[in-house]
Amino acid sequence: MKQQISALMDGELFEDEADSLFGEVRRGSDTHKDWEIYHLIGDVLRQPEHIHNDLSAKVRECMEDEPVVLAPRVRATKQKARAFALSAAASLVAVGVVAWMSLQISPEAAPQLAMQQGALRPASAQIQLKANDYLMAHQEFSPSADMSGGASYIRTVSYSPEAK
Amino acid sequence: MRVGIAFAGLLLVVGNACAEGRQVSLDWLKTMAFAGHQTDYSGVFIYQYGNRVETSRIIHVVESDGEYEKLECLDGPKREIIRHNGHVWEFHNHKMVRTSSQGSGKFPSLLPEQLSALSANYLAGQVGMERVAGYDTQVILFQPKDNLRYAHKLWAHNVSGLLLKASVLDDKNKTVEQYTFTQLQIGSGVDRSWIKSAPSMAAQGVRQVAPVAVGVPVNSGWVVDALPAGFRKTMEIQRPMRGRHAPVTQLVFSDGLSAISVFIEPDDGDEDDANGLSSRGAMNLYHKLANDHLITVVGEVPARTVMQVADSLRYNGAQ
Amino acid sequence: MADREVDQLLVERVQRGDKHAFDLLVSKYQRRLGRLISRFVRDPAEAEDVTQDAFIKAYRALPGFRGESAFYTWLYRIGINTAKNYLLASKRRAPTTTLFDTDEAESFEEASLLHEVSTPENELMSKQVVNVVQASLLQLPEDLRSALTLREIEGLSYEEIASVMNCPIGTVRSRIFRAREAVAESLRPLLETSKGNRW
Repeated sequence: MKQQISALMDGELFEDEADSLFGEVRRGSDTHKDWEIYHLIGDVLRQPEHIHNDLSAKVRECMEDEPVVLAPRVRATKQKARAFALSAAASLVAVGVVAWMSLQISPEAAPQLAMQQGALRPASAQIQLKANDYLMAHQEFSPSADMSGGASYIRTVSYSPEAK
Repeated sequence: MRVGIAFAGLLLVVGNACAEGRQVSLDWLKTMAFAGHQTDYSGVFIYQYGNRVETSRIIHVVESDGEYEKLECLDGPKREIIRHNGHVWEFHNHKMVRTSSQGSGKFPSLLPEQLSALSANYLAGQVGMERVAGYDTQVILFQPKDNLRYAHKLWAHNVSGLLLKASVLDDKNKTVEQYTFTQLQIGSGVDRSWIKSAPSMAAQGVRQVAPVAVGVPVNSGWVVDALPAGFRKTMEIQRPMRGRHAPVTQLVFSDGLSAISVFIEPDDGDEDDANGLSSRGAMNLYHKLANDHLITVVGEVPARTVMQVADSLRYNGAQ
Repeated sequence: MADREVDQLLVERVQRGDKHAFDLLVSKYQRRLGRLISRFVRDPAEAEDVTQDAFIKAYRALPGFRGESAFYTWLYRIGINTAKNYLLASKRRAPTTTLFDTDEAESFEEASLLHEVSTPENELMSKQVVNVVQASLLQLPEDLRSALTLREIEGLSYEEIASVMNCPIGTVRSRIFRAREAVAESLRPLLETSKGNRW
């Protein structure tokens, strides 16, 4: 039984075996304790500085007042589209700033700016201001907006003193 | 035998540290994304790339109805922006103009899918503690496993989790661009008086400048044969773009930390368009004409990567 | 059957009205969720409360969970939102407790140190647990220790471990179990002494 619990938590049983084994784990039984302690060991190995009091008793206490939840049986389906929608929402913040920035630099400055050579990478020209629309359209969907916040706003904007 | 045990113990500790370090670094990313939206702060930061330096002031506060943010460039012509959640106003011709409304700004969270893509393509680790703008920070480095993407070094405030400094490094460990707070106040005492003016600016209405168009998902039939490992397509849309007659097809690929966009549009014969490679900070852009189409590849990845993507783009026929 | 599917089985049991299956999910994820939340809520006692709260919210929301994402993804999202709401609420109550300037930040760090000092039993207990686990791991024969480490730290499947250790899958299964059980055996007396403060 213990050995089956060990394999169960590693996802190494067949689904029907696993489901029937879960059915046999009674609350407060030794099997339940084995499940808890094996998981504790795993967490100690992975994150030794974040071992805290066992919360399961407290959670169980709170749950006594909770109604039993019931939902129709559904199978897992992979759905990437939703994940994307969320990250896109997160990046939307950046786009307004980029739009704003692209309007700020006067069109006359473009030719001079295009001739500027970046000190770090002389091999490539500076991005032309007319290309800002692409930067803006790109930034909307880049994870960097989420990661660096203000930093990514500024990236697309860059005012160049030498171009004046 | 004793030595054997000691050595095994050491290996265990090291193994622990690696797995733990990777997880901790990913946790820090989530913390930074969270802190950036949920913390009141005001400060001055500099943005550097190539031989350019630009100074800006940013104020960010959270009220019961959401985030307010003001960004002001301190060098050159006056440039200022106020953002309230997804609404953005800009200072334009001596008045504030609303530039975009994306509805309420959502609380962002790095999704575990993105985080797992990250650990597949970068070695993540905490590389030390440093002081930035007078605050103690954790330094976290994302070192790419190949030379098709940049390294990202992030300095996160120990206490609040705010990102105080960020560098993008190339494969020779040279800084491509950098953003650093030089002065920063966190929490109480951040000026909020300017917030009151934000709604009145909305009332003034003024003109709606180029509302950002939403794209329509498509299956365009364009494929990238030599996509760098770990990049996955996150989007494929057709979108209107300013100054373009026909809708532009945009494909977006991401490895969790940076993204590459591919734009495909009919060639309109504008010679200026086909000008090869250009860059700004960590952004590289590559234009190319192919089969009566103008191809534009943009991303915060090295030049070789945008070129590789552009050169391996192929029309695979309608699906 | 992957880890994700083990969770899905438990989720489906909860959705069919088996509250106990939720206990098993709590035992499994409480420390991982606790660590995530402690990144936002620095005070350990508050972080524990928020973690507990997040589990209750998850339980209530579980009927609506359709398995589009992995359970832990979904749970972490609830955890982050619960932490966010907690911080916003505590900011409304007392602005200086979660927001601080430079000076306050320093005293804040001192305060959190004081807090840890003020709950020496919990601290001591968690240190003891960690010490016992690490010490008994070192006592294990090398092949048992490697198998468990590859599984728990590196996250390899039995099949991958079998190819790394060049042995049959059945042997991997038995080694991992024997390693866990040996460590658990040395841990049980410690856990049983702390009644009402179980781990």
